[in-house]
Amino acid sequence: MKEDNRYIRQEALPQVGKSGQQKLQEASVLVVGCGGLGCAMLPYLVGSGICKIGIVDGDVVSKSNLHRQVLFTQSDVGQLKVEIAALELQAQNDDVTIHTYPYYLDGDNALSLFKNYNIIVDATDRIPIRYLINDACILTGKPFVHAALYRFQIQVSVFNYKNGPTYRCLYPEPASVTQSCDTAGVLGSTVAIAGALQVNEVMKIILDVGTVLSGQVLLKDVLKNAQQTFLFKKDETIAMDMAFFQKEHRNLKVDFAFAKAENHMLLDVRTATEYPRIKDDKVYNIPLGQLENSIHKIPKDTPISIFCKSGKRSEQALHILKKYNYQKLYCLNENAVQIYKELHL
Amino acid sequence: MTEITLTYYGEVAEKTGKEQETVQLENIEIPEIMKYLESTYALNTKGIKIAVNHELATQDTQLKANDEIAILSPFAGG
Repeated sequence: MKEDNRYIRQEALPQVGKSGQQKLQEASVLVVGCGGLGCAMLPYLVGSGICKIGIVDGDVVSKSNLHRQVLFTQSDVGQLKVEIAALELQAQNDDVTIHTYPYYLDGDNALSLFKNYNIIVDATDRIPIRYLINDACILTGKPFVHAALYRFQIQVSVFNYKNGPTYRCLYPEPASVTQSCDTAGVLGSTVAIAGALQVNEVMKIILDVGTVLSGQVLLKDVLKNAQQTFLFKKDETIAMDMAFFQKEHRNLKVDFAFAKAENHMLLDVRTATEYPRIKDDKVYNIPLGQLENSIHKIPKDTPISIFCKSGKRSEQALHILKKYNYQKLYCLNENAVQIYKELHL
Repeated sequence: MTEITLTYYGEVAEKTGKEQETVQLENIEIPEIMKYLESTYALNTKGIKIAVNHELATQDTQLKANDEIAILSPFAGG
């Protein structure tokens, strides 16, 4: 251990001490997502002296992130979030090894990434990815620290802790469509509180102190300063194995040229007001939010390749269609702009 | 008919347009509450969980008057 006083204030806590600090300096944490929650958590995780921290996110900084994603500045717009964050964080504490993964977590990379870390932290903003994190944590035997927000309300829980209940025990089935911060709105201070609560759980797990939020979900309303805890049990009927994981999370991705040549139905899940508009007799536009109500319009016997602006909504659409037992589903490697160029230019 | 109070959170509160309401149901059972949510607010109850006295309920959880009933759903934001 280094002979300096960097950690002296946290070592002064009887729950930490020299031995607790040693545990932190042997621990590793993977943060999935470098948006609001990620930015709120990472400086405290890094500051604490945790040995190794990984950050997974394929997104770039946009101006609408800046009010809450405090690791980024105006001049970072357009840059990869993980790279900017790593620079800031490394300057904060060079005791910590920071690994960046500049891509989105998916069924192909989750297991190999998770194997290298002790604790997995969910800092994402989409429901399907939570099932992926959950299922990969079960298969790799890692605890999963979760937080999610809806406007001024926060849910925090720890899943798969010491073989405890998982996200599927709380919410067995993916909900239809839920709104993210992008659509529902959020204050920077709310996401900061949620992130701080997650760091608090990470610390308790590493230090083995206090009560970890396992088998309970904390629901906090910051507008009312009210909070409640709801208890839930492990559902022993939920089985998780590699075959289930592969079926659920290994999404097949195909090129536009392949999908067109194979006569796939090309499903554009952007809203009707998004540009560029794509006009082609194989392209159908059904916005993600209307997909379930329009399910009767989508044939079951035709392979379907889905696209949107960034790939996020196509992945959500694919999970919705899976629920309705569609079998031949793919996401396109190209986004709407690239497809427009292929068809119209 | 028995009177029960339901508390809503997150997106469900937005869809019902209220945070709490007292309703009268013929049978106070979990499936009956789900049916009420589906028929009154056209809610898709697939992702919804009901907690009774701060504990997640199952289909068979027995309810009684004055139980605290919370309607929970996953949040997406982060």
